Amino acid sequence: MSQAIEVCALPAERQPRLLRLLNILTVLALPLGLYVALVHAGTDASQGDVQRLFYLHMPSFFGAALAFGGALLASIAYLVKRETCYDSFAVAGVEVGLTLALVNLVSGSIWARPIWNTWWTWDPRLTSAAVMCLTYAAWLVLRNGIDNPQQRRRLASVYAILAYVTVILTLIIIRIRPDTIHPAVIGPSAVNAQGSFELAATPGVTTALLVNFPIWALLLPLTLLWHRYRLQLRIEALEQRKALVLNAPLRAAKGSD
Amino acid sequence: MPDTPDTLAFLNLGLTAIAFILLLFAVSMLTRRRNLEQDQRALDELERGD
Repeated sequence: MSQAIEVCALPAERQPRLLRLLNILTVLALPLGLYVALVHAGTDASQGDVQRLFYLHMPSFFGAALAFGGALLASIAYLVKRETCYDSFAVAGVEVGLTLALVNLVSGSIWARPIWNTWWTWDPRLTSAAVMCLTYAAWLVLRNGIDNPQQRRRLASVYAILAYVTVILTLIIIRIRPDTIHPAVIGPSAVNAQGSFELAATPGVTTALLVNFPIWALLLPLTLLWHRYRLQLRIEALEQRKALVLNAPLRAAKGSD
Repeated sequence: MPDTPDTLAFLNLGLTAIAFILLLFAVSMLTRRRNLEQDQRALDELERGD
């Protein structure tokens, strides 16, 4: 099998029209989503204002799952086609996914303090979310620790494919572990769940969720992914140029022998 | 019926933490972009010097 590495085209300095449109939409949508979550939606009677974190907490997990999913597909594509742009997209996917997964984890922990009376508990859902974050953080460490570019890309691709198991596990664990205290929003919660709320009980909850979900699960991750991907393409191109420029005297000396 | 608890401080803390995480990511992207441009300029100078 050929091990030739295809080098991707450098992105144009000027952003594509669709990306500029995404930038504008994201900048407008984020404050709109916050307004609906903080002002339009009613206050939950049993939890108070902290329940409003939920409108960002849940969609940010799905945003992370989307970005990690992008890394998974890009990794498969890299292993099949050996083109560096797929590896660059995987880097973007993992970094954006990890950022949104941290938003999910930290906002959940802050919500838990007044509702569960603790910042953290080793509940199955919380543990699997933490394992997911650590798995992808380790991906970044591993990737930066391998000098050989081809070996680095190959190992990182295999790792990113395997790491997606932690995303699926985090998604389904509240359905398969009845001992979890984490509430489910769609479908019945586990019997031990604490901090559940009915979507219909407080006015504006469904609207706030319907507005914030596409923003945090789709619009923001896609915009960040595209920007990070463009940056990674430029970083890869610079690394290749550096190798060429710095090795030029060596090649010239060999040529004169 | 029990009173609604005052959890506004936790909402503010959560929003601040979310903003901080996103800001950190944006700053890290901008820093890497700036470093990239510096490296590109250095390589340009190195090539001109040859």
